[in-house]
Amino acid sequence: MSNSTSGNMKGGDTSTKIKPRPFISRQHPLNDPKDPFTAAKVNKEFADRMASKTYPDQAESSLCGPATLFYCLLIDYPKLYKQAVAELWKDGETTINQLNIRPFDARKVRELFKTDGSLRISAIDWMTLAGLRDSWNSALCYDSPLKQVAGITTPGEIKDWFRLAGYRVKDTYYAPSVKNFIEINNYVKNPKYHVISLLDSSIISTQATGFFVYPNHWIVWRDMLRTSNKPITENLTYSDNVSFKLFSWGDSNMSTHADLSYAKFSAYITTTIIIEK
Amino acid sequence: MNKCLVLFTTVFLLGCAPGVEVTPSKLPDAYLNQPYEADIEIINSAVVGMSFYSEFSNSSFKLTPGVRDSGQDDYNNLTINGLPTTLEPIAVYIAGSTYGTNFPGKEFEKEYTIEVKANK
Repeated sequence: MSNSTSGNMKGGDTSTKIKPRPFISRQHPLNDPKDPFTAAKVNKEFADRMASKTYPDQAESSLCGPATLFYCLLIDYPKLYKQAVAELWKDGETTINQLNIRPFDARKVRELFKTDGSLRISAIDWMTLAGLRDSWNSALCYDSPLKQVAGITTPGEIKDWFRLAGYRVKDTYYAPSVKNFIEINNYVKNPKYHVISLLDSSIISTQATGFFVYPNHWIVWRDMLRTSNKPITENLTYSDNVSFKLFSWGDSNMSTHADLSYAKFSAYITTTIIIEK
Repeated sequence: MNKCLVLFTTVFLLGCAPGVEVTPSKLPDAYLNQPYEADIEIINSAVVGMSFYSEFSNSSFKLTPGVRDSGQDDYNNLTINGLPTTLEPIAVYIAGSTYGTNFPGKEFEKEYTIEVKANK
């Protein structure tokens, strides 16, 4: 007697058909003990995420843009986040409101593991962040966390993502003034809004200053811009030190360098977008 | 034309980014049967915790990450502790990677040898 169940199928019943799992690590594929996309491993990562033990984390990859969107989604609409993870794992595609995520190259990921066996980025972050990035790349293939140009997110793309995911882009500031930063502070303290910025990552406390200023990193504001621990006022001068808390790299409490002057800060932050929930 | 410009700018900017540096270049000597402690700092970029790897030739030695303001482990600031009970030098190996931005992060590795001396 055959073990196949196909002989018992009636009238087009496809319930016993097994679909191939969409996301595969080329280094550790299906049936490999280190396969990172097994249901058990993805469920564990997901449970930690929903328990606020972890946040979307680009880790070594260049996926800071997608991380800002999925961070906001996780905070505001955990059910949508959960649905996106579940559908990507099961079907390899999902739709968040009108934002279609249908990755192709990212589903057969290369270089997810380092030579010592550790992951460069977690499985759920690869499926969501790289899934979104790859869906929007028309010419450049995004199939590895080490890809350089293919991972870059532009201000136009990030605004499109938020709009399609159901948010409204309330305003955009380019090279904001002190007056603008006071307005931005008012948005930061209002729970109706998220504030995201493209800045030079060297203002973040863990980073070293580079030789040139260039906007290379998307972050989410977590607190108002302050000087001497108080929100800035119109009296702020270029020599005053400023600071603010931000979300980046899976940490919702990152801070800026303690000796960051307003002159340097204002030069290192280029685009700030106000997102309305 | 625009694609060439973006590619050129990307390569140029990546070339200008500071590399990851593991300090100090050499760890201080240890002394037989005396508790050993030394700090290692990884500078220029935040280290990804889940990517960090360390190995010691002497199992009584261990490495502890610092703590960030947020309470998360800080793998940029590390402390080595141990108790040498023989004069055999202790090999230390650390490796990891740094967080990406709009560009991928960087990988690093470093090997140290801690000399064990009989007394000060």
